[in-house]
Amino acid sequence: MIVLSYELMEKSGLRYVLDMLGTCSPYGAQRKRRLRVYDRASRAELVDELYNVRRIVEYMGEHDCSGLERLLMGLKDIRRSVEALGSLALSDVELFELKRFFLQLERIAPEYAQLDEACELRGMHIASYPEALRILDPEGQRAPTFMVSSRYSERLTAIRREKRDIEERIRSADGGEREQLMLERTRIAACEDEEQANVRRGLCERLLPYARDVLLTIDSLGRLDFTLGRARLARAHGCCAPELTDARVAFEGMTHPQVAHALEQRSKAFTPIDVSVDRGVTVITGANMGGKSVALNSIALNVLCVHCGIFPFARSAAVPLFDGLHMISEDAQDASRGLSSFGAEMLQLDGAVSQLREGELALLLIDELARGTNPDEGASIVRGVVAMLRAEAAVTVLATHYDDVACLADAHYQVKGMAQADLAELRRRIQLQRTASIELIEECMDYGIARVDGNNGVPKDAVEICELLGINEKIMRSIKNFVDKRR
Amino acid sequence: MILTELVAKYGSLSIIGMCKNAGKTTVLNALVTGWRGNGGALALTSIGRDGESQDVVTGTHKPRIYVQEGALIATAAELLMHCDVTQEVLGATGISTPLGEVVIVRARSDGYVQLGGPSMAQQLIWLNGELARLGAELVIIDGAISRKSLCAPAVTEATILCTGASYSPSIEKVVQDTARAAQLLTLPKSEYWRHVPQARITLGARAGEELPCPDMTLHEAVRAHPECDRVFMRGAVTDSMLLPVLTSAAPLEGYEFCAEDASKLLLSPQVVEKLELRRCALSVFRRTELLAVAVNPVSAYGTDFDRSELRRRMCAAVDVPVIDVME
Repeated sequence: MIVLSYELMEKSGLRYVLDMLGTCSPYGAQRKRRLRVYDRASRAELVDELYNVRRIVEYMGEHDCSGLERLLMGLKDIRRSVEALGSLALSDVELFELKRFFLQLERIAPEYAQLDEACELRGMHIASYPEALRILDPEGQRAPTFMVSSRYSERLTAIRREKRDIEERIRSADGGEREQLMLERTRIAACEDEEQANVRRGLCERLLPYARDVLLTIDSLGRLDFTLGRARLARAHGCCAPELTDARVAFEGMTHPQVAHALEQRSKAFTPIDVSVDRGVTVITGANMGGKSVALNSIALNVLCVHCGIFPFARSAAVPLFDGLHMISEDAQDASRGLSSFGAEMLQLDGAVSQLREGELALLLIDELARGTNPDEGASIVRGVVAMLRAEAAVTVLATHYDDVACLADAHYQVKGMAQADLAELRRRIQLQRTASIELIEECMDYGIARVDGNNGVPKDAVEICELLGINEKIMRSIKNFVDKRR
Repeated sequence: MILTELVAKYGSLSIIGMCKNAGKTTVLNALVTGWRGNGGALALTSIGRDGESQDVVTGTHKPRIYVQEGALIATAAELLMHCDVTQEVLGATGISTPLGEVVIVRARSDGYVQLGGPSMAQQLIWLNGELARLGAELVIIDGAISRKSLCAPAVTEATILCTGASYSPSIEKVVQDTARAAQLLTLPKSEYWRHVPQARITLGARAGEELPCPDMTLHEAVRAHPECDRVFMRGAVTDSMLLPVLTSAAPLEGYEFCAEDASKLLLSPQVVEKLELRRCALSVFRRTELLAVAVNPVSAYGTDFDRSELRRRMCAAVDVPVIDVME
């Protein structure tokens, strides 16, 4: 099973997604806090969860759910009181909270029934408890207050009548007489206290049979709240209902909301990613301008979302249930621990590979392995790793800028980069606006990735970019000399 | 009873004491007993804990708070079991205290209550509004020892200051220090400042312009701008802020020192005296309505005063009505 470590949540951007996902009640908030990760064993439950989200997304297209959400906001966490019913010693305030809960449920239940009728939600049971409410509201006044009513006990009625008499006499008495009456009052108030405790015990006894069902209802309320939150998020970001596969990972129009937000801040747009990878190794190559890492992180995030029952940020998605997910990359934290970046990522890889098991399926996302070491050895290391991983029970996506790696892999993607750019037009614009050459080139960069033949080399954009930047002719001539020699 | 007439036109009132056992609860009980109202309820809460029969700090006997049917009580959940009124729970506030969440109950009979309310001004303001919504005509906030933030007008419209023999065995000192406190609570509203400036220290000149001095101490600001003759001090005003100015050679006659409200003035009698000596004026932006000074001639520690003497001397020292709590 995938373990949601703090690092994984931060690195993948799942934390950011959860921060965007709003819930209404303490029960929904807890579902989010203790996020469940589904695995192959709980596949059927995940299917139900995704079904529920999909139905509510569809329902929200035509109906307003904010009324139901407002009602959920009125819920307080009463689980401790429900669990304590067995002690038969709930206080007035706890019984008040229970009554408030039952009253709120009376309002939620019909709204939920309406939603359920349209959506036929799975695994949720939300109904009101009129009999339990009647125990706490014998007069049927539906008032959002609670007191140990005299109705509950004849003895209590008699005690309160006597107490009231004394209190009225106290109001007009003074001196010794008043003191005497006060003593009398203290005695009768103690009797009232005792009888009230008896009544409360009786109420707890009568409520106890409902406790188990109420806790189940609370669980359903949390589930409903979390599902509404996920559906709202899915609608706001155009997320899709994923298909569950055996091994294939495929996304169309995939984005990463955290990266997209950062780009938006700089008035730039995220280029949606289309990718399809399967058991074995897929290599992504491309120029050194970020497209590769973003692709890997987007895959990690959206795969994780599906495992948590959250709709992925894509137009379409197909994801299997993995037994493990490993993101292997150079990490600033490792550097601060005193490991060389190369050493740290090799240890990460070693840890991930040692966890691969026959009959299981893991996802390995490897970003620019051995980028920091010397290119000759680095390329050999990466090629060795690719050849080894092809035989493992894993789906691996590896980004690299080393040559002759892609030909060993099962599939090869390239960051589109400058391939589609109109270079003549770009050159003309740079001539007009020399100082903005870097921005103009960035604008022409296509950060999307495209599937290419395995024998395609790493894109050779670097020299092209130097030329576009208008690098001194003397330098360029010398560079080209060496490039030609190599070819 | 003069007390109930005094509070008649206010919607909220705080009762604060110069010390423990100054007679706050006696005043509160007198108000509760005399309360008639115009159809609305009387609501009680406190800042901190109050109403227990024995003082938990000094172990002396204390009067308990006895309310009449219909009163609203905002108190901590754990103190409810020490209240012997028949209770109807009206709401849980979500404000937590060491003694549990603050809960609002309606007294469905006469009886004793113990109060334990929120301790933050913002929470008290919210609670005030909530009690009014539930039908309170007058909200009384019982202040704990040296919690003068209560008299901030933001929290209550009016206040009663309690003092007595428990403050000091010297009647002289009781009268003098109480008069000082009353003086701070009845400071005039500044006529110069029309809004609260942003900076901690803002100087004002005769011509009417404002000069924020964000990175200077009060002393540095006053010294740097001899053309100014008034200063607004945002936040707490302390002895250590004023002393360097008052002991300097700067000409200060007629200088006006303005604070946000009386609760922000944390000044010793000595410093207030120095201000007077140098003929400076002290003012506030929001004025507190001090309704009365209540005196308690009985000490919790055995040295009682002559009640007529205490009352006579207090009357001479303050400008507001003086009430003897034992009468």
